[in-house]
Amino acid sequence: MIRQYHTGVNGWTSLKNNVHNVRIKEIVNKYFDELPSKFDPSVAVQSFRVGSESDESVFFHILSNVSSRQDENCNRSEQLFKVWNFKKFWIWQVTCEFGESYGEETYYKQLKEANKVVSKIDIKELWDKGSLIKMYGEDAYGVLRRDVNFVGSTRKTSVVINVSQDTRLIEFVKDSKNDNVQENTRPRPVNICYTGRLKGKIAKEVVEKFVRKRLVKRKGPCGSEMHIDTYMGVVQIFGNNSNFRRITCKAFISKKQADCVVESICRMVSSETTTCMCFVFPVLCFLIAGDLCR
Amino acid sequence: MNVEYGSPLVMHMLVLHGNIGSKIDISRNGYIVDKMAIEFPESRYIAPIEEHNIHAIFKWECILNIQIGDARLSQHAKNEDAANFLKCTELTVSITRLGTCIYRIGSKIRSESEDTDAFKKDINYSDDTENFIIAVCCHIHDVIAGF
Repeated sequence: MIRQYHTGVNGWTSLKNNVHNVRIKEIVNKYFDELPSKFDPSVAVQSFRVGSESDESVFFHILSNVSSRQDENCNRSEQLFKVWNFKKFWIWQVTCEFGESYGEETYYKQLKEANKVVSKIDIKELWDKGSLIKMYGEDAYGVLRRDVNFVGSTRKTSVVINVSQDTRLIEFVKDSKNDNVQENTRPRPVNICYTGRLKGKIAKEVVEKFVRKRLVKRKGPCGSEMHIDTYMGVVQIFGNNSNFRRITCKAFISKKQADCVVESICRMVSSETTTCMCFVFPVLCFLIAGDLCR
Repeated sequence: MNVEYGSPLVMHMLVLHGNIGSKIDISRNGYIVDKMAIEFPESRYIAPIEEHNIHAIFKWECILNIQIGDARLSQHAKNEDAANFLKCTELTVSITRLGTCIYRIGSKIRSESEDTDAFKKDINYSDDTENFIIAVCCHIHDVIAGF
């Protein structure tokens, strides 16, 4: 993608989405290493040619010529060049594949340089060598343009980006998301939430004790009365309702682990075992996480 | 007085994550839409919205409607306790063009405060039921991956 930094605006901005953006992003990703990372467009019209190693040429033209950021835009045109080899000349067919002249085909005759044997033809370079004579389609040796004398094709893409005059910096940014295809992995749980109910009275002083020891937080999110962070997930205990309390376990990866944690919380908040469990609970969670519930 | 389970834990949301290992065509007329339509005609397809999201989404209102060839799995689905829970369970699969699959399973059983009867019905959500759900997702994953 392309992003801009403007005078008087905090942070980077990007161009508005239009029909060209997706293709331009692809081009930037493909030729990222050939493009300058950052440049100042206000100095002069900036033009870059990329695609030197491929069978296409891409021309970027960045013009700092619109008055406001709202008017910033991008445009592109794509042409496919096909060439046929004849004894004394080349015949070019240029087809507009994207742009204002979409679908238009034009033909050119290019005279070969005398007494020059071409061993390997670089189609991209060939267009620039020798004068071109425009031809009408019906005169362009149609029936003689066959597979046997077809040399090859090349594509030329022109990208024009108009940015506002207060643009101070432009940067080409690679979209690394396209490269991040992960290895095949079977589905595995990453987040399981459970709901259940507890019965029995949780004494106020027991809760106070755990709050002081920072094992339990009071008034957690979602209206919970107690919030307990464990190695395996988060447990929330809600207010008393006819001796029952709703309990939710979030961000666990198996029911076995959630059951282990809830059972140890039950033992922890049962008044008889309070003193013991104050010390045991963190160790128990650690053991459960390490061995028992895997 | 001891504090103990008043009613056992029941899953209300389960998220699984997996990867196909290659890019995948998720467009409206693409490979994966055709494949899912053939293999899982009961699924509902929600197309990705260009420039808004990059997920093709397939939905099953009831996980029991998913056609699975495995007889052992099908047997578990016939277990009455499990079936009571599973018939209220929906599955949504999101597939990205980079082959990441996210399986979201949600239970439509309402919470205690809204419907106390749900818990009174003794809905049994066991480890086996959880394993069944994961196995169903693995089966779908294998189909998507083309195994």
